[in-house]
Amino acid sequence: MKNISFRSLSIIRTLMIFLNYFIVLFYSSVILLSTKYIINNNVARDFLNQISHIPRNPVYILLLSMLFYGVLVFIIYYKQNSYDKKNKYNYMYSVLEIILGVCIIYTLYVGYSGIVLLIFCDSIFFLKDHKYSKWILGVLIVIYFIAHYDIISIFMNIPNPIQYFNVYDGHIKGILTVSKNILETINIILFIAFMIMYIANQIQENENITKELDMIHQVNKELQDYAAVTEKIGEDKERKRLAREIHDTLGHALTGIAAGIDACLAMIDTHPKETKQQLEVVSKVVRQGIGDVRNSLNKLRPGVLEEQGFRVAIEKMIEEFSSVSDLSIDFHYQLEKIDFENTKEDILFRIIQESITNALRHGGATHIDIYLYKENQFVLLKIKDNGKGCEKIQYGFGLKQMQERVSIINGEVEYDGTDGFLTIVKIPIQRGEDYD
Amino acid sequence: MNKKYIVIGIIIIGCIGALLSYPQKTTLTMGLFAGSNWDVPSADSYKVIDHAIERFEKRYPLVEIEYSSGILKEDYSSWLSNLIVSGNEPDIYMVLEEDFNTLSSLGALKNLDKYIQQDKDFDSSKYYESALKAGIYQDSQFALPYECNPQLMFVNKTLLKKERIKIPDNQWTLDDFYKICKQVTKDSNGDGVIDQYGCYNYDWLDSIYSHGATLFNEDGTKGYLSQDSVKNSLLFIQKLETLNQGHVISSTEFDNGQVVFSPMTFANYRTYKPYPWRVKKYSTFEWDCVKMPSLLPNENSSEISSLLISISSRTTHTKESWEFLKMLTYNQESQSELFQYSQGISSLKSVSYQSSQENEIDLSLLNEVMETTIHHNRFKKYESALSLMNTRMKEILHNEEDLDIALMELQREINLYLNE
Repeated sequence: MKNISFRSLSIIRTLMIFLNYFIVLFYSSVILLSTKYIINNNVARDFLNQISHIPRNPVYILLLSMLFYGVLVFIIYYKQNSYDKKNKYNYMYSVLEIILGVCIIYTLYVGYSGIVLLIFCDSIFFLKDHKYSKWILGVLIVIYFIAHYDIISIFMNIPNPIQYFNVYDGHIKGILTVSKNILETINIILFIAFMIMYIANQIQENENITKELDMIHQVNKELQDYAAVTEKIGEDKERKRLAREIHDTLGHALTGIAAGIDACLAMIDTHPKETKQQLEVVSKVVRQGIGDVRNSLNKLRPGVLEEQGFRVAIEKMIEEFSSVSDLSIDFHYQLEKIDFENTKEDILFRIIQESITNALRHGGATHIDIYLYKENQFVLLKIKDNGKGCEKIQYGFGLKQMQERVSIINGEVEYDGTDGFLTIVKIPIQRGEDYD
Repeated sequence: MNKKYIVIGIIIIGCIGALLSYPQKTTLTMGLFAGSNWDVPSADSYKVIDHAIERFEKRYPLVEIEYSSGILKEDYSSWLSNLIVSGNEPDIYMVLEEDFNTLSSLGALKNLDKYIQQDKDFDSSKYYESALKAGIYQDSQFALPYECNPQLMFVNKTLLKKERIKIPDNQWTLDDFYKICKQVTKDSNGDGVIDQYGCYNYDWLDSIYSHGATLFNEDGTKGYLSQDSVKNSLLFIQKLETLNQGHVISSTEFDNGQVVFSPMTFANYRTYKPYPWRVKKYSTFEWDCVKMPSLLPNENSSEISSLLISISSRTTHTKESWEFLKMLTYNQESQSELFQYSQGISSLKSVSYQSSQENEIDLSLLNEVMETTIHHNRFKKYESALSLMNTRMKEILHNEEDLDIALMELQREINLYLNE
């Protein structure tokens, strides 16, 4: 579809190039032949009375206008063959074409300005989305409107080209005028045809784009639905796992404890000794239960934390983020001799994760610095991005949850959105965590 | 490798520079016509120019001047127009008075103001003012006068002597003119028909000039025909004609010496006054010329026609052309040769002064005439408007129409034409 319309535009333009060649040739030949006619019929003195300025040598007019036209056509085809859409200086071709067009119009005493239509078609064809295209087309329109002898002769002294047609008697003059008008009309018709094709082409293109956009929209929606379903399934799975875990550990232990305590209740009066033994068993079961619960909780921790330790886990997460986005993240870790308990590690890990996600999603940041260091008896986590930030911080779910999480481990969170977004987390160091 | 290219480049640039700066011979082309501009017989029409070219080429050995000879004055305008239309006009050319307005309005002539101002050797006050003004179009000098030809009044001395009338001096007025005409118009042989007349060929335009009337405004957009001075001029012509009682004077009667006055150009005066041409015309009586009569003594009264020379606006040898233009129009030697080989008068005051002494021409007459001639406004349609006016004026005078109404109508007609 696109190829066909491109080809027909190209054909119309080629036709215009040929037609304009004939018109330029026609005008310059009329000027040359009329001059010969004037001299042969000895009417030069009368002719001088008719025109308003001395004419140029008609042979030069013919040669010059043909030369200018030749260069113009060369530029048109050269541009087409070496067309590079990304080249910033594409508009220079059009500027050059305009200059040549003006030269041709001036050489032909502003008798013919249809050459502007050809340049207009050519420029609109190649400069569709260029930032200067509007200016160039505007200039062309202005030139087309003012390039008439009656207007130009106010500012400039040039002979009236129509007088070259008027030197002949009625018959020849009629033929010449009619030919001139026919040629110019064909040029205008070709121009209109070109514009119609061009606009139709544009409308078609827009339609295609709308269709494609619709399709993308559809696919996007389907993906969202799918993601929701997947999340739901995951949640269910997790719930079942939790239920099983509780059933297997706590349930098991509590049932054992209940049974043991029941036995103790029955025995305590008669066999205090055995009861004591029994209670010791219960105590063991309770302890085992605690161990089991801890194990279960450990199972719910992020996989990487469990496998590779705190620092490596964060680095890995950062790497994952960096690899899927344009984000560059610098991680400054200065906590060599501290061993956190799992909860703290979890919370710090989640905060970093949440902050990076926020910086990406809300701030549109491209760089994030993360500092983790010790100061007095506190561990400080600073996360700074270069994103949009925000003047007034709105506490969405993410930030609130962060606050809640930090307060579990007696920490504090501060936010600052004036220059990018800065999150500072302060956590007290408990005894036993610090090796120093 | 690079050095080689640089060396070659320097050599090429050097060669081009040498070629460009090498003194080349320039060829100036000139357009001129054969014969006299004033329609009087002239045998040596190219001599002045040839001598000027010789002197110029001696002074500027690198400039060569060419002209095509044999173009008659009547073909000149058309010949020049052909060249201009085809863009091949000469660098420097003579301009006929009737072509001057058209050519300067078309931009065919170079504006000389700049050269006149910059050239320290050039002093435009050395020209007769009226002659210089002939080359002015819309306040700019586009041509310099080569030769002038003022209008004089022919006086038949024999006839005046017979009637015992004193030959008028240069201070004479229109009243004196009319009085003498009235006095001499009579039947001398007693056959009942008038056979002695006052004036031949004195037309309405002569009368207009004598009355000091102007016909157009400065820009040539309006006629000034409804003025009193125009009406008075026509009334004067009518008054003169009534003296002849309806008789139209023929040239034979004038040649036979039956008429006292007739306007005559200086060129005619110079041609027919001395030998050999004096034998051919007006040989049966004695005659001389005086200034044209004016309304008041010492007023502008006569017309001057000039042969102008201009530089083409498209010449590529402006400097050389200007020098040659000066050689023709400003050089003492060239201008004094005019007296020898041509019939006009030099447009330079000093030359006219000197030549008139050598050639026994009445200097006071010459000065009087040259200083009191009128300059007419120049605009593109001047010639055609004047010729239109001429036809209508002749009709008006011939049909003895009511002057006020006829002039008003003509005024409207002329205004329409001028603003077309």
